[in-house]
Amino acid sequence: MRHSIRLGIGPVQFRVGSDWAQPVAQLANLYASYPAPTGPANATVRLAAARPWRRFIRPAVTIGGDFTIPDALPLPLSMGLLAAEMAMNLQMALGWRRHMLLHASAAERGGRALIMSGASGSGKSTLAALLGESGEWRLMGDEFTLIDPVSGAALAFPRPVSLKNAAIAEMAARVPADRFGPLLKDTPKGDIRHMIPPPAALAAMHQPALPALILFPRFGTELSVARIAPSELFVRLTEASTNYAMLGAAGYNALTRLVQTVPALAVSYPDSASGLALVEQLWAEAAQEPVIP
Amino acid sequence: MHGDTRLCAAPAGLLIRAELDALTAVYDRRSGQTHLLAAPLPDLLDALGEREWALADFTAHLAAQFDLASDDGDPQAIIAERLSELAALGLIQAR
Amino acid sequence: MSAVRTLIDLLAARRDPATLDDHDWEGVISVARAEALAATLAERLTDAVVPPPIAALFADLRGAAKVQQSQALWEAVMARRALAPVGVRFVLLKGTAYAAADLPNAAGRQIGDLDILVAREDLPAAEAALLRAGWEWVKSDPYDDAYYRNHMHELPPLIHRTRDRMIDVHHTILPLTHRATPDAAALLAQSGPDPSFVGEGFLTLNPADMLIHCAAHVMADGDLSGGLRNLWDFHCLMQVYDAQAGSDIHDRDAAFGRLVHRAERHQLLQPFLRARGLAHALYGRERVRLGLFDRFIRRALTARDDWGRTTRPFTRLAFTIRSHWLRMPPLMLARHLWTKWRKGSLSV
Repeated sequence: MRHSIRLGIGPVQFRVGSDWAQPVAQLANLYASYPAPTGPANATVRLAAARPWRRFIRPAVTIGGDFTIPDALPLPLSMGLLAAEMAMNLQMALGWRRHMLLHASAAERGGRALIMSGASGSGKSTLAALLGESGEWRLMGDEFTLIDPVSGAALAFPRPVSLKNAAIAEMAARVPADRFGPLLKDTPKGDIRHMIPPPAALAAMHQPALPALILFPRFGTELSVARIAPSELFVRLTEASTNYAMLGAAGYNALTRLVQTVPALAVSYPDSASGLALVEQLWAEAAQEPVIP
Repeated sequence: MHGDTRLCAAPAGLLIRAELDALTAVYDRRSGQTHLLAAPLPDLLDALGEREWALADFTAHLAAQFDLASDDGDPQAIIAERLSELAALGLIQAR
Repeated sequence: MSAVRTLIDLLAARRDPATLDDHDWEGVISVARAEALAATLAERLTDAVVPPPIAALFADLRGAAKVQQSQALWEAVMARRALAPVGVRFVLLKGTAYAAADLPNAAGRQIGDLDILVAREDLPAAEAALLRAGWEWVKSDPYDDAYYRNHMHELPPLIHRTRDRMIDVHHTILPLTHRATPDAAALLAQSGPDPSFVGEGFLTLNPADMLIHCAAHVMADGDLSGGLRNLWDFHCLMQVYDAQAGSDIHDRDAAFGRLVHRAERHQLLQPFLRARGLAHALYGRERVRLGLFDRFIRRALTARDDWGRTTRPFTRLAFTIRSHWLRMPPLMLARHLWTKWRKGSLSV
């Protein structure tokens, strides 16, 4: 392919090929402060024109790579960066076999990991990003958290944080402008802007952390906290994992150990400030609870 | 199923079990499938053990260990229903 | 050298893995993934010297393939649990058969659906038993359904409602409207038992029929997609067959003669010889000269760039049309292609 770039995030080395220069240039900007990728790629993304003439006429980017889904709609070239990020997510979701993948954000404090699992709109990405700016926490990832099946540790996968709609302004108020990618307006998911993780998070991206608390956040309602029993947690986490079923006994053992040793809570909160305060409080309480062997 | 149906559970070494509060997680190494079983299914698996049973004998065995009296009907029929669920999951064979 | 050629050379052990650089590995892995040969390559190179990131990736692929393989064999076990009580005998085909028989190409092989062969008269009983045991029809439109039952060599596809895996029940190995008519009864009659899997013995085709079936699908199936893998299967099966024939030249000639004779019986001699030539040209030790048409096929088979994309669209289109021609009489072909085109599902 005409244009390409290599990117390294945690254990994953991507190569991204593109029929156009623009998405590659935007990726180069967004990932400029990341440590240089090493070695051969283990995941390949292809951003291609659906038909040869669509390279120039109403240019449309198909989301492709080693792993693809049929009938995925192409995006206009103006959203090429979004296509690239989605294609990277797809390679992970469909192709990664080394670790259990959870659809969750994660942040590390004192060597232990807070994992926040939820779908789009749950607030998991924004909460993790806010924690990452607080100076006390290291952002590990906003979209995917990797669990090592052997050690049970959470691995960092700090991609640029995908902020949507109101969250953009919220983070822009706290974070310097040079840590943001371009504003992508009116995408299928609304307005999107990518935020580069803090330099310390990128520098430490190869450091794992043992999970100590799992939260299922829900944004936009009254403050509440509810315990989640291990059996319910098991079900919720298999639903949040794209590759659990492919990991065999190793995945099962990792997941059962996780649900039997790490406390889990469903939390809802009306706004970020109270959400953050709640998270800090719950973390402090979890730190005091005896660890189940 | 009927009284003569032969029942046989998966050899214990092929299943990995984990007790999670109300449910028992079971990983079947042969199928790669994960099952979450509620009582009395895990207990039935335990009771079947490693040998083969006829349904009628198994029902009698359970009756000796547990109080099977119920207003819902014939114990053997109820046990057969639960065992069918286990068979559908592949965890036991009933033939 | 192109990535696809490098992949072929690695599988054939004609290329030393230590001579590949990072860029070469990236191309090889993308092509291998596109051709469903990635885990196969990882198995072939288990003991080879490769860069640590590649070794780690290969370990991932081998591990995932093993999990997948036990899941595929489990489908065969569950099918047997459904069909044995009603007395329906079945023979495993393709990937599941290779795995059950522990053949050399089984390691790392991706298996999709469970393919089984039953006697035509057993189809109704098989269908009923599978439906009772939790399989259900994959949604299809009425035209496809009629086409399947009347013209294809299998029941319409079934999928298990909780395990979400498909089973294809065949009663012969090629569509009824195909230009060759294999001897299905002979296939079943001469199938053999295998090293048992979890205490349950399975039937597979005898070695000669297995080779011929493999060859039939290289040429007769689809638009040559999956051709590199089909020919790899053929190559491995052929090596096993030759090894079993022994080292004596007379024994080997006799064994090959039996194979040819069997292929003729199934009216599949030409596809068999073609597959043998192509497999040898791709994966064999010695250099082989191919005829014009076979070179054209090889060109279609290797139509991938270093990013894993398909190339050479007109060559591939030629094969889509040809494959439909092979399957159906011309009159039917026109009608079928027209209906497919109208629904927009014919594509290059």
